[in-house]
Amino acid sequence: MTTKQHRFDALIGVFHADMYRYAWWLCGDRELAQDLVQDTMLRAWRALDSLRDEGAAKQWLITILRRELARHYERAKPPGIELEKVPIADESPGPEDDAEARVLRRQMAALDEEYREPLVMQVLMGFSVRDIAAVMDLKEATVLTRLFRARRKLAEALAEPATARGTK
Amino acid sequence: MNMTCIEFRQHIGAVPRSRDAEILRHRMECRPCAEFAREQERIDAALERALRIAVPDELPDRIRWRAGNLAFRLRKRAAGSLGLAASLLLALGVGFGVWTASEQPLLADEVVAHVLHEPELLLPTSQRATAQKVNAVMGRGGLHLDENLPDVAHAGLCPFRGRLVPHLVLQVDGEPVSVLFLRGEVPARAQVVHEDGFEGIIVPTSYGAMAIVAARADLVLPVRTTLERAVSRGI
Repeated sequence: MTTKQHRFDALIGVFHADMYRYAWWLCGDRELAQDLVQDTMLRAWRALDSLRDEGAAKQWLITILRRELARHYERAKPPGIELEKVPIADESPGPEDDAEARVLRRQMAALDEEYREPLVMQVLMGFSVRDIAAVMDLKEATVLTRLFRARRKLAEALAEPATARGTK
Repeated sequence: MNMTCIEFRQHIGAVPRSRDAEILRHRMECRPCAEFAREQERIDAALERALRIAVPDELPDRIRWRAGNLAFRLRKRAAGSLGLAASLLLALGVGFGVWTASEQPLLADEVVAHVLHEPELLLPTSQRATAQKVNAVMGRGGLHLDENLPDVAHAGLCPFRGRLVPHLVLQVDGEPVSVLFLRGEVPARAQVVHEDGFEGIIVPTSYGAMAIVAARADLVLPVRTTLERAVSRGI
């Protein structure tokens, strides 16, 4: 295996899961999310020599993925997230967490993309406010505001009684 | 100037795991704000769990597979354009009207890339797969063998364009001939494969297509004749 193949294989191993989840939470479609990750990784493979700092790989990949998604949306209207289709990982510790997770997922799906995306970057990808601002080409203060509002909506949903939020 | 509780909660409300020195200091000094921060961290952990949806197991292999194909095509492009001799068309039992340069197919690229992906199957071998094994593989691929095939050295199901397809390797005159049964592919016409040292053909069938490649074109035609007779769509 060549050095390039080694590097590429490492990128796949480390980032494919988070990239898929990131893509899914933006597009809400399993097949499209897979296609986006694959197309992103192909572009990354072509341009791998330009990645000098492995520490910047995550941000680099997400930037490519966002462009791929924008290209896709130029051709097709965003479908929105259908929660019934959410492929849930079997990681929830118990029923209470399941209920909470359902509320959080529903609320995430209901968030406008401008709020959902930075939150996914922060929570799933571990991006700092500065990272998010760089990737989304926003001011850090704007990112902070969006994160605050997104999290407040989630916290409010969790604080509602189950009957009010339509869960059992 | 010390941070106020409002400023603290605005910041923690956006960045629950902040390790900013001023934030940490306020948290140490203000019990209600520390409690608020703990609750935000708890929600953050729950959110992380909620967002970790299941990832398709096959995704890494799909990526590697597509990257392998891309690498193959780039190498091929770098090596220059393909030529095709008229004698090759005849040797493969293909008429002159079936293929033009503008139709040089991606499917052929992927077939060759797949065969190259399993180089150990390209070696001469005395090993033979049992008829039971061959029938089982074809059956799982949705196909049926109406007669036993001689000299099948390998029979397996392989991922190809998102499907599992039967892949046989027959030994003909001591040379391996690789066959992929491509259910679901619908080439409009027969296509010649002539790249990277492989000669072959992709022919439309009742179940999709059949790709046959070998090191020499004269090995391909007898296999094509046999398989067109022996293979049909499964029940």
